Order: sequence, then structure tokens, then C-alpha cells
Amino acid sequence: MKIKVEKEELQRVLQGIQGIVERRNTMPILNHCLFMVSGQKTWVLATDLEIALKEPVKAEVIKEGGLCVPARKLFEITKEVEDGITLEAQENNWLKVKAGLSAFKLIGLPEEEYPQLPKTDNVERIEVQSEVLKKMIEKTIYAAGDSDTRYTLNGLLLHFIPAKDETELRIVGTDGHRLSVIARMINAKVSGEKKLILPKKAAQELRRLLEEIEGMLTIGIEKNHLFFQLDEVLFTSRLIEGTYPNYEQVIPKLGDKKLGIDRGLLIKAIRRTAIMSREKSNAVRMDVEDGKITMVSSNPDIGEAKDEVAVEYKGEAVSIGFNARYLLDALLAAEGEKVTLEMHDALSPTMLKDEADEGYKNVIMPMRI
Amino acid sequence: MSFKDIRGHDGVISILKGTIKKGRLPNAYIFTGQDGIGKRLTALGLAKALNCQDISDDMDACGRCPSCKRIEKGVHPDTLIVEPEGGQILLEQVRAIEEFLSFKAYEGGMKVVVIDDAEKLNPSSANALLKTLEEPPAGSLLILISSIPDILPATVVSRCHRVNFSPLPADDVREILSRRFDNEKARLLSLLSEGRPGLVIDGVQMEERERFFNELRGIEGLELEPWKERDAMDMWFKNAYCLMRDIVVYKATGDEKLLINFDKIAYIKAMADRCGLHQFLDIANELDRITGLLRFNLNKSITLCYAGLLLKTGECVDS
Ligand SMILES: [Zn+2]
Repeated sequence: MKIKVEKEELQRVLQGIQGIVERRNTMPILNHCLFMVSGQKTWVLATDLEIALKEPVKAEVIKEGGLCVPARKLFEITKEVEDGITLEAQENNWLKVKAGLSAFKLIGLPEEEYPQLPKTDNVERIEVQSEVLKKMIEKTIYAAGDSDTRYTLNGLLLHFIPAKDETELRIVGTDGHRLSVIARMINAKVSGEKKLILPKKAAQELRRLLEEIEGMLTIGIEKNHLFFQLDEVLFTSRLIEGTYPNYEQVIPKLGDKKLGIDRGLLIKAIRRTAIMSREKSNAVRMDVEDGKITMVSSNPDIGEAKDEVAVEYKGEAVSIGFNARYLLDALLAAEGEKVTLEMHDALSPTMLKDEADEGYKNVIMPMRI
Repeated sequence: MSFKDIRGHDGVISILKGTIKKGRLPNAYIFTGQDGIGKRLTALGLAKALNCQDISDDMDACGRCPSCKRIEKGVHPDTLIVEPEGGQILLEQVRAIEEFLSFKAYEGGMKVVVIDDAEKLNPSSANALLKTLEEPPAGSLLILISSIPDILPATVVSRCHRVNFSPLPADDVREILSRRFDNEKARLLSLLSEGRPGLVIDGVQMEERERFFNELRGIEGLELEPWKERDAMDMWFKNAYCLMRDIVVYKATGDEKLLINFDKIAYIKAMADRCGLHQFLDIANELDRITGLLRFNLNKSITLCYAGLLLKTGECVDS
């Protein structure tokens, strides 16, 4: 393998994979990235065994081949050297790096030792705008769990539902205390209903990637993996094993008390009230009556807070306790000027809807106060 | 190593192959039998067969494809090997197993977890592992390995399909050892191994035996350093017992060919002349008795003193 590459290009590519190669140290090979050079194309592949990113590198190919290279060291070298970098594989997996008058030799590993990318033979493909997927992840990921025991909750559910000539894609995140679900129609067909659990870390990394690249994204669905391809960039993630809880059961059918509220005012009131909440619980109580919500919190060691927000509501009074963090996460992810709270009683889940996004729902379990 | 490179376990291997072929793998195995006979090699052979990209018709791994190579090197993403850390298998190691199994297979084959020296699971880690054994994630196989499975909780063992391994016939041991050592040494090591090539293949036992014979002179003046580790103490008693065995055999038969320490014939002959057969038998019995007590944390220097005295008595009685 021998290529000639510009400093800026190599630095960009290596920068983009540092987050993946540095995460886990259990296997030395995972501190490496794989250079693959064939035909006139050069690729860099990085994986932490959970996610993998394969990116093209603009480089002049002098000799084909492949080599695993210590990603961190090569990145450090790239940052410091002059422009016009030559990478050349030598005997016994050494990599020679030359730029200007500088020369480095790095100990690499043979190509075959690198974990293989999952095969893409039996992959069903569906196309979606990158912007749409990015939004869907942003609006659900905060609700996903970090549990040591319920691994299925440590991810986002991607639920594909065939609908005539289209597909309804729902993304769901829940940690057992709150749930957020967003639905979008996608102009493509799937062979049947599918429920796949994308690990939370993968979803975060994918969101980061989608901030940099835009366009028509191809989602590849395979039994153990999901693929996301945009132009020549390929992002893959291993799926979580197991059955996701039946989220549809959790979504309350009956919310007899509907409250229309200004989103900005509600956020401000919750933030103010939460200052006096007990730190761990973050609890605030909402006392709902005709035309207003009174929000209270108290901490025996510090004091108490009270605030008020006007609401569009006429009906029975109700008092419900919430974790302020859960309300804020959902309110901040919403986009409309107004939101609706659908409540029943102090023991039932409350639903929060975004006026600007019909397909977006948040369910929040009440707290005992 | 693929199945075809493993010696002495044809019966076990043909059963494993049959199970793969029928697709009727259990969720968990426990491989039992003495240390050093090939349980872990067989477990890795099974992991290879379940992930091989070019598996043979009789269900053996090719040993050459990238998947086989990665398992051999211990870098396969879907194979996890767990060993005791500081004498125990810790709860966090079992949590790591749970996390490993929570994902679907990376390369699309089978996820295999090998837990070596599984009897070293501490109570809380055994309890945590039990949960995984009760609800095994799809597409996964756990292989517990233990030379003393009886000290594992019965609840754990009962959820594993048990496969027993026996020590190897002498010919198989010789063949395995001759892949690494010259003929003479392979013969000596195979005699020392008692059918457990894994115990001698690293050469440690050989070194310990040399040290033992060198130190015998020191015992006369009782100048031995007590052992630093249990393993060294175990090996010392093994060597002492083996020496007594040779002396007894030589005294009874006069046949050099029956000796294990055949390279130490001069020494054995000299010692054999020093006292009677029954005294050596008594010493051998006493050494055997102490060996049985070693795991009860005997005081090392008292034990050494006593055992040294035993050998010394053997030497001194008639001389
Ligand atoms: Zn193979």
C-alpha cells in the first residue's frame, strides 16, 4: 500500500474517527484504523465493535493494499507535519510516513486482523432525508435509558410500519420513567413491519455525523445491523438483542384534561421552580385549575418556590408531581410556540404534545409528592 | 486450533460436531475434567466452528479464514474469553459478559463466551451469571470450564449441558509434545504430565523439577526457602511424590524403563540403596497425605520443614 494525501484531508478523516477508536481499549486492534487501497480508491475504516465508520479519502494511489494503523499516533503526526504526506506499508506491517523532510515509522497490524464490516448482501434498503432522521433522533434520544440491567432500553427503537406505498417510521426512546416517540411518513417501501433497537451511543455518533453531511441517506436493514450510507460514507451499528417493550401500551388513550400552554413561558416557570427542588428528585408539583397552573417546589433544607403560568383550561382541578428534568427535556425538544398537556390524575401518565409537530409525543410518568 | 488438531477427545468432539450439524446447540455448556487436558482448546475449536466462513462438511473450522484467525489470536469480536482476575471472577466481569451478549453478533455468526476456571466465580458473580443462564440472549453460547465443578452452585451447573473430558492416553500426549520438543524431552514430559499435556507444555514444570532435584541437597541441611506461591508448593510435592514413586518402582523391579524421571537414574539408584522398600512406601504415603491437605492453607515453612525431614529420614536411615 502506498498513497499520497494532502495534510488537510488526512487530518479531517482521522479527526472524524478519533471518537470511535479511542472509546475502548480492550483489544489493541481497536486503537487502529484500517486503510484500504484498491483501484483508484482509498478508504479508512474505524470501529469499536459497536459502531463502524467507513470513509473515502481523497488520495493519489501509488500502490494497492491494506494496513491497520494506530489511529491516534497517525493523527498526531498528521497535525504536526508539512503538507504532502506519503503513507507506505512496508515489511512486517510497518507504516512509513513521509512529509517534507520528516519521516516516521509506525508499527501497524495486518489487514486481516481488523474486525470485518458486516456483510451487506442481505440488506433491505430504504431512503430518507438525512435532516429528517437527524431530527427524529434529536427528539427522542434524551429519553433513552442508561440501565445496567435493561439493555433493550439503552437504545432507540426504530419501528418500520408498511403503509400503502409508503412507510411509517417511528423512533422511540424510553428509560421507563418517560417515553418519547416521533413518527414520520417516508416515501419508500419496506417488506414488512420491523422493530430494531439502535444503541444509544450509536445514535449519538450518527447524529454527530449527520450534522456534518446532508442529503439523501440510505438506511440498510440487516438482521444484526443497521447501515446508514450517504454518498460514499458508510456508518454501521450493531443492534441490541432482545424485545423492546410495547411502547404503544404506554401511550395514554385517555387524557380528559387538555391544557394548552405557551411553551416558552412553561419552560421558564419550570426552570425557576426547580431551583428549590430536592436535587436528586428534581420534583415540582403542578396545581392545575381554571386558567392557570401554580407550580411549587420545596426543599426542607433550603426553602421553597412558587410560580404561575396561564393556561387554556376549564375543568376539574388536579395536582400532579413531575421530575422537572423530564418536562424540560421534552419541552426543549419541541419546536412549536404552544404545547398541549393531556392529564388524567396524579397517578396516570401525562402526555405532552407539540403544536408544531403532530407526530411527536412525550409521555411522562408522575412522581409522588 | 481446530477440532482436527485436538488429540484425545474424539468422542467429545464428534458429539459437539453432531450438535452443530443438527443445529441443536444448548444455551450453555460446562466442560469438566482435570486441568491441562484440552477443555479450553476444545471450547475455542467450537467457537471457531460456529463462526468459520469455510466450515468443512463434518463441521470443523478451516483454521485459515479471517474469522478462525481472529479467534486464534483472541481478537474476534463475537468471542469473549473470561478468566479469573486476582483469583476470582468478579461481578464486573459478569456485567461485561451481559453487555457483550446484549448486542447482536458483530460478524453475524454466533456469540461465544468462554469462562475459564469457572469455579472461581465468587458468590455474587455466580448469582449474576445465573440470570444470564436463565434467560440466555438469542444467538449466544456460554461455555464454562472447570476442573472442580462441584464447588460451583448447583443452580449454575444444572443450567449447563455437562461435557466430561478425560486425561489423554500417553501416545496422544507424546504426539502433542513432539510438536514442540525433541523426542527425549517429549518422552520425559509426557511421563510427567499424567495425561495432561497442558500442564507441562509451557516448560514451567520442567524447570520446577530441575530446581527440586538441585535443592534436594539443601534439604539435608534444611536450608530451603519456603515457597512463595501455592502453585510452587503443589509442584514441589508432586515432584517429591514422583521421586518416591520412582525409587519404589526401581527397588521393586530393578527396571529402569519403568521410571518417570529416567534422566535422573543415577540419583534414584543412589537413593534407593539408602533404605528399605517399606520405608520409602511410608514416606510416599505421608507425602500423599500432605498433598491432600495443601489446599487448607498450611503454614508453608512448617510444611516444608516437615516434608524436608521426611525426605531426609529416607536418606539417612541406613547410611
Ligand atoms: Zn475458518
